[in-house]
Amino acid sequence: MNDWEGFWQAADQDVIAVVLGTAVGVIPRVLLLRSDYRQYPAYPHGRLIHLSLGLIAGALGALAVPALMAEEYTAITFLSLAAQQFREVRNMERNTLRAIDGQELVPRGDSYIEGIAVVFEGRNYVVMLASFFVSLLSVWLGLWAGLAAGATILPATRLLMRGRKVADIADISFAPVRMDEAGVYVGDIYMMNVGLEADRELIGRAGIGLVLSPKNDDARVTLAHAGQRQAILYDLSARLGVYRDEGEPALGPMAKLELGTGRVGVLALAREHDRDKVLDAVRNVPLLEAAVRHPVRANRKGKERSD
Amino acid sequence: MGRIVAVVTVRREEVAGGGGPVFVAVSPEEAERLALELEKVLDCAASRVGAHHFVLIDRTPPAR
Repeated sequence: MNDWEGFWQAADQDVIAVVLGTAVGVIPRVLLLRSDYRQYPAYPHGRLIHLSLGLIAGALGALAVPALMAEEYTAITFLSLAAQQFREVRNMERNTLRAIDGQELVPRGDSYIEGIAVVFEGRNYVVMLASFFVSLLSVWLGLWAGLAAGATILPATRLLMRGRKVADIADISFAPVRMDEAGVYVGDIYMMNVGLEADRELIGRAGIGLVLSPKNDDARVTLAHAGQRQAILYDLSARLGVYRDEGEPALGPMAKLELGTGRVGVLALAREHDRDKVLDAVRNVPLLEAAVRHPVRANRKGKERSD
Repeated sequence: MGRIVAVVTVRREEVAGGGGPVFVAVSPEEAERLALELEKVLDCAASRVGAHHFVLIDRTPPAR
């Protein structure tokens, strides 16, 4: 008999449940902590903070089950304590991102920041729930049931935390950037007045024009949200580079709504002009919780269908 | 809301009142150059209004 088997036989059922639950909780937190160039945390300390909190969340979720089994009902108050901590996480994210935002050449905007902060809080609850269920099953049915539960929960957390993207609600197409006197247009959507020939020349050279057409009436409301449009501009700038400096307001990217049709014209001065990369950048912009609305469903009469 | 910080014009008589300084240029080329310089100095975008005037507009969002 090897030591490993001996350990599992000797170990208390509760200990196994807690260890397994915590582990299964922490794994999705690691997987969800993808740091790319648009996301915070991009630095080791940010990662450390979130991994530690994920570990705490997992341990709390896993510990709750043996505690309840031992009729220690006060253990449930620990979970509320954890919830308090996670709300603190949201505040921390919000404050940090807002502090940074003032110095971004293209800011994220408050709606995007709020969305990111909420996701960071939410991930910890996912961790806690995953740990709780795995721990519950391994206490009830033993180690193998716990492992099986862990294996099913991992892909489920991925699915649960995957948000929708701009590509889901809008058709994206390229449109030429053109000038008419001082007016700058993307396709036929008026963007802004640029007075100086030098600026117009630069916009004509570095500008990328895109038109986002909403796929239905709900999408139209979402795209019209100023925060959603700012998020599109931020992601575009982060992925394609910006062609501006502080104190050059004429060269900022912008997204304007064509009031009649609800289409959105996007003008960005970018370093990267590869069409596939540009399309990819716009398609993958997350839809912000604050911007998503479903007026069509709310207004529907009886069996009337939306378009 | 944007705020007009300065006006550059080649037709003095078409501009009146207002709070911002008015720069009068003798030719459209000089007006363009003045507007460019003011854009850099003031960190404000120059917009063209009509055929003969530039306005420099401050669009800094209000402080939170």
